[in-house]
Amino acid sequence: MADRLRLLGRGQDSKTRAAGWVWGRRSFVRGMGVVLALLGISRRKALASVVSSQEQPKSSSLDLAMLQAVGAAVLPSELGPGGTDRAVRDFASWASGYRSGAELLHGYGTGELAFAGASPIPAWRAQLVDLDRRSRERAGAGFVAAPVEQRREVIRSALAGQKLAAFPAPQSASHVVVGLLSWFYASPAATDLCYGAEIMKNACRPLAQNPQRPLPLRKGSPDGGPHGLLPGGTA
Amino acid sequence: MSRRTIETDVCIIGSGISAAMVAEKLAETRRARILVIEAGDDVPLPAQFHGLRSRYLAYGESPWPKDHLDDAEVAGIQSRSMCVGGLAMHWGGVTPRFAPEDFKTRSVCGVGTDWPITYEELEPHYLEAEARMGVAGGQGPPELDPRARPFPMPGIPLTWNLQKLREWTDAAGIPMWSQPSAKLTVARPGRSTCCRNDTCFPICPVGAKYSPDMTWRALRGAGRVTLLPRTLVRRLKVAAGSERIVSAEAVPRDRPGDILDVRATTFVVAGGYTWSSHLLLLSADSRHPQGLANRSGLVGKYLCGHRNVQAFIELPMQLFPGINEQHSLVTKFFMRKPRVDKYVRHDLRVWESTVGRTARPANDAGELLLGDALLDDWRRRTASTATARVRSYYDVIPAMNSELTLDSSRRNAFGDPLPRLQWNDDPLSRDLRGYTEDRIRSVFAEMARAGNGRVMRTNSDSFQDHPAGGCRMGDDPAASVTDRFGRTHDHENLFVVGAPTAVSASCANGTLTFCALSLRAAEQIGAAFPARAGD
Repeated sequence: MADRLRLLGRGQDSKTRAAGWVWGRRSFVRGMGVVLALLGISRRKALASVVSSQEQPKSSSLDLAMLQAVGAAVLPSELGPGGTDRAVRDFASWASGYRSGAELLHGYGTGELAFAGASPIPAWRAQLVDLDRRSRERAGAGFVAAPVEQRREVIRSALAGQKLAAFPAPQSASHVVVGLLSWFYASPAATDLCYGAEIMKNACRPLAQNPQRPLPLRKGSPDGGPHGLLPGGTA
Repeated sequence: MSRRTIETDVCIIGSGISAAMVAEKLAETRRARILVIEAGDDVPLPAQFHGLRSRYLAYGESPWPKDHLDDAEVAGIQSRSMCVGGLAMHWGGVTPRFAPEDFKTRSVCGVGTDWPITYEELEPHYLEAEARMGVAGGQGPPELDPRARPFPMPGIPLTWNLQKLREWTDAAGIPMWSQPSAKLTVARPGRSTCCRNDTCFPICPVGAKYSPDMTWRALRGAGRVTLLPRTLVRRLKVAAGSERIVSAEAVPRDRPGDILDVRATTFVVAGGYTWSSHLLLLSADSRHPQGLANRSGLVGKYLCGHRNVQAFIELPMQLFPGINEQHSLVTKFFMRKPRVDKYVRHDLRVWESTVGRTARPANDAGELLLGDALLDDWRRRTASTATARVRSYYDVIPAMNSELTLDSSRRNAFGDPLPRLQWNDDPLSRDLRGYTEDRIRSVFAEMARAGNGRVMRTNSDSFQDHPAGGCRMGDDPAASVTDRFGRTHDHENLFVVGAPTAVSASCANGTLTFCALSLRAAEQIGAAFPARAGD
């Protein structure tokens, strides 16, 4: 039972996450990739222009520039700039897809029903503003422009006093930084990164490979591997 | 308000896994009109499963959001599910059989009550249930895992992790094998082989895991059954001057003022351990003031289940959690006969686990970890040690006052009293509970020692899992509700099938046994109708 309940709200499906506009965006970008490759244009550059024209700040979204600055400070450097950028964008997409009031899974042995709480986005947006304010107060520079070490100090000051023995479910995170970390480290891609192996948890994988030790994680592509390092990532 | 009458041959009340087994077998073998009545809603179509699973993985949302009725909340612990397919829309697809001793605990062990049937009598129906669902399994040692024929398809291959863990359990002297599961290792029409999506519970996106909605789609598509969802049966009615059931009075939930009068030759109550007894008690009339099928006074009594003890064991090895987390090793080593002088029987399963091995935001000193420090900390804690999850269900002898009663203080939208569940152990099990759980914990400790590991923590659930009973079967009408086939002693055309008829709940997941019992009942139910050609 504990393991069953533990699954609630944890983990991302790297192959089948199809909720909302996340899937639409990926399908679109994948399709674009073929066209752009034929034209000799970098997919990453194209992605940047597509995203910049589509993702203007909305009331249901997080400040992407701030979030990217947070990601560069708290996510592992092995992701590289491209990987960090994708992780942050996917986290922002995930957050905007949250549906407060949705019925949550009820397990065995209980008649209790549970429903998703209020969206964390309003509080998280305010916390990003607060990080910027703290940065200006401490070093006279905005959070985005501050060096990584300074950003970490700002984050430490913002999280001072919080008890963080374990990650909460991302949507329950009391701070946007914890939300990003919790979301990332619950992902199959983070597990692969930790173990240096292509476990690809929650993905559809041939049953015949069950007995085999997972292959070492392949490196070399900008995103870290053929299936991507990032939650929900399919390079 | 209008009153409408439907005539049919077999009226099945409930559409869970037991109902699906009965309906499928009758539809294949008998020329009979089959009407299935389900109070809950239809479930989503397979085309929606990927999306539902994605929302579950991303946000913890229920993939079966309309699987219950708001006005059907039960007092007492209950796994809540009322929809087409029933609780088996949630199941993990695990299909162990009971052991031969489970059917004769009184004769062999001197405790509890013998079933009116033996393991050997149920064996053909176990085989049939395994074939119908598509159970993948590997043969355990025959002395522990007796079978007349092989599983219908090869077992799920052990993951790299489970192979390592089996080396450990071998060292502990415990023979373990691949857990039989209703998950395809060989594809069937409309169903893919298991590809380790690892969300068997709560939803399989590829149809590898059997769930009753598959059977209903096939039967409805072929015109073999009529299934009325969103229709609540409120009463069964007995014919004047006889003990035959003449009709089921139902209410379409979309037209609550209307009454649907279902007249049938045979009625099959397939409402699981809660709603089967509930309906029989609700159907009390002036001639049957205790409810139907209840001359013994045992309807709703002897609810049964099993408790568990679980532990997480740290072992000096590296595993790769996530290869196929929901699959496990299993053994009946502690289940076949008591291995101590007191009555203690339990199963044992072993899984890979991430407990104690997930990333964490702060180190032991409480210092926040950011950037590479967090990943480094995680790697350090997973490089040379791993966690195994071990769990044993143990047998609990049911007590007569482990019961379902009508709670007149709480009523549904139609004014009918709702059920109240009260679980109690037989005094023997109650007195042995501490000893039993200590005994199991000592097994876990011995296992940890055998692997040079340590028990990180143990816990026990307070509730009884895989519940059953309430309409127990038996040969003596004074001591049981149904006969050995599920036919009620009091009403020749009224059957109860599946979980409610179980005499006891063993110490292993019960669904396969409930299905086997249902298929056995279906043979008797079908005997009243002409065989289809070729049968």
